[in-house]
Formats: sequence, C-alpha cells, structure tokens
Amino acid sequence: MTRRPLTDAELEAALRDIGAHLRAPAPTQLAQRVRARIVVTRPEPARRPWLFALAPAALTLLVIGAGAAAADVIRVRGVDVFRVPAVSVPARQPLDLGERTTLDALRAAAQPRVSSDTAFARPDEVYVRRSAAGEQVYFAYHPRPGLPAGPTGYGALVGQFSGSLDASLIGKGVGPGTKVESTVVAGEPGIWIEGEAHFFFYRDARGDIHQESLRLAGNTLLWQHRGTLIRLEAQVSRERALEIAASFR
Amino acid sequence: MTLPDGQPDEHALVERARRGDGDAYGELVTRYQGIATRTAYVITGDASEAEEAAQDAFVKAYRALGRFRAGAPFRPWLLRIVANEAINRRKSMGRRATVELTEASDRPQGDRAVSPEEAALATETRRVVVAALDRLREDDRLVISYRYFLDLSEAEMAEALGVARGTVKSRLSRAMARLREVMRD
Repeated sequence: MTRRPLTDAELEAALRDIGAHLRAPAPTQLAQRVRARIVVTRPEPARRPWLFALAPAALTLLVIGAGAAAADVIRVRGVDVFRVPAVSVPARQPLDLGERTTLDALRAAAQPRVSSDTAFARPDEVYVRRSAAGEQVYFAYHPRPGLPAGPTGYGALVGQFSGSLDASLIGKGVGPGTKVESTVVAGEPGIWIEGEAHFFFYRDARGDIHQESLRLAGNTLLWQHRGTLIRLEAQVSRERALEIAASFR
Repeated sequence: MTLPDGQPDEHALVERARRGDGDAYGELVTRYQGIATRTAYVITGDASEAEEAAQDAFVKAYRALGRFRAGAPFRPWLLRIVANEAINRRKSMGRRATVELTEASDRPQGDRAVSPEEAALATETRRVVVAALDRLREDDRLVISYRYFLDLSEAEMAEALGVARGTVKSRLSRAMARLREVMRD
C-alpha cells in the first residue's frame, strides 16, 4: 500500500494507538510473588555522605552547625577531607590496627612500602588487617625525642592501604583550628593536615564505614605511592613529614 | 494519610514500606504492576520476560527503598529500575525486541463506528510504525514508549530516564525525527 507520509499529529495518534494495542501481559499475583521474595529481607539503609553516615556514638566527635555539609570537601584519590564547624574531644577510642605481625612475616606475604629514613626504617610494632576493602598494614613507632606521642599514643603511625582507590577509602573531618593543604610527594598528590586533632575513619569496598577506626588523629600526611595510599600520622612539621614520605620505597 | 477514596497515599505507603511493612509494599506493587509490566514488555518484547523483569525490579526497588528520596514520586523511580532490569534481560536474550499488537478492534470515532476501510488503514499504519520503531536505537524507542505508550508526563520521563527535564524534550524530538527518517527509507 502506497501512502503519503503521516503528519506529526497522525504519527502521534498512531503511536498512542499502538500503545492501546500492545499485547503486554496482564500481571497476575505479582504482589504475592514479590511479597514472598521480600519477606526475609528489609530495605537496605541508605548509603549517605560521610558526615551523615556516622553512628550515634560517632556523633560525639562532631558538632555540626547549620549549613555544615559535604560541600567543602578536599579530595585526593581515595581520600575525602571534610570541613566541619567543630571537632570535640571524645573519650579515648581503643586503637584497632588489626592483627600483630612482624615486618619479616609481612615481607614474605606482601610488599609493604618501607622507609629508608633511619628513624622510620624499623617500626616498633607491625599490624595487618585484611578485609574486602583490601589489605591495610600499620607500622607503629614508639614516642621518642623529636617524636612526641600523638592522639594514638604512638610517636608515629604509618598506615598503608592497598585497596582500590576508586571509591573513597578514608574520610577526615577537620575543624576550623586545623589547616589542610594540598601537597606533592614524589610527583604524586598528597594532603597535609596540621593543627587541632581531626577525626578519621575509613570505608571498605562496599562503602561501609568502619566505626572502630573512627578516632582523633594528629598531624597527618596522606599520599599515594605506586598504587598504595599511605598515611603518616606524627606530631612533626610538614617539612619533616614530607622528608619521611619521600623516603618510602 | 488516606485519599478521598479511602486508599492510603503513595508517600505513606512508601514510608511504611521503608520500615519493612510488606503489606504497604504489596499495595504499591498492586498499584504499579500494570505500568511496570508494560514498560518491561515494551523493552523486552517478550511477555514472560517482561513479567519476570517486573517482578525482579519490584524486589530490587524494595531493597533500594533506603536510597529513595523521601517525598519524590515513586512511579518514575520504579520505572527506571524496571527499565534497567528489562534492558539487561533483553541483552541476555540476544535479540532485538519486537512488540506484538492485539487484534482488538479500533475504538469508535465519536458517535460513529469505524468503517472497514478505516480499520484496515489503522492496522497498516500500526504495522508500519511498529516496524520503524523496531529499527530505532534502544534509547529512542524508550523515550517514545514512555511518552506515547505509557503516557508519562515530562517530569516523570525525566525521573525515569535519569535526565534533566529539558533534556527529555530534545531527546523525544530527536527520537521522533529518527522515527520519521526510518519510515521514509
């Protein structure tokens, strides 16, 4: 059949007509079948931005004023730093660094980045935590002259995160008394946080926040080194922190 | 809150379902099962796949209720999940979707019956347009289907397609232009 092209109105009418003639199935007992499948489950809780995902206990760390939100965020791959109006001092949090191990045992199983700086070459304590988020290695250094104890009780704490950095692994909330600066360590982007203690937590591959890691932290340098996110927490100057960071191989 | 006809309103049902109330969610399923299945059918072109897709989408939507923005319209949000589920099924079916039409007689025009000639012309027009739709890209088919088969508003289409409201107009206009182009070939 040869016919003239349809006008716009005719084409629209034809489409509506097709809609009225669709041989779509008439669902039967769909509600019952859906109910049978959801009976053992509940809606999953919303995955909220960092600040609002904190459990009530964690809220003791924050004093969130009007307008405080994730708008003021500094990002390096794998890390989000949030400005918050204030950070209050919580009761001391137990430090959970994972399972105690030794540097030699760790070297046999993994390739931790090790500092060539004399003061940081041999950690006093070594911990490892393996999870869905990847592997986390912690080097702990006891306080000593030039390395005073920080909020963790250690003189310095080096955390190495080898999980994917595509999703933010680490969240930091910093108050007005804390300085946050972008920096570069061996050509890689980094963040230097100095001043009043800030709070810190990390998120696993599923996006869940690990509350046990929620605690106050001292001066901190975060940088990336060959696919690993390294966090140095020590009461040292920015220059000294950058020196130590550059010594990691 | 309930509507004048005694039915609880959508927001109230969603809120109850978010708290794990299966009855409330069952009510939402009953309310939207028709449009959900039609959406899935337009995409898959297969009745049984469409029913399965709609069912899976309702289950996924329930689990995702925690991420649903309180106070937002539920129907377009649900349709987006349905469409994703149906598109995945259509891809795994490995063939293009072709919808089938019923043989139902055409509706009378005003106060007079449709003549046999008019009915034949309407059937032929539907055949030509469906054949042209089958040759369109999936996103073009979807936007046309939402507008003319499911009669969604622009706001609902924007939500269901996950685009800005202004984008809906331009996307629909481009899809209609491509449909005309295909019909000219």
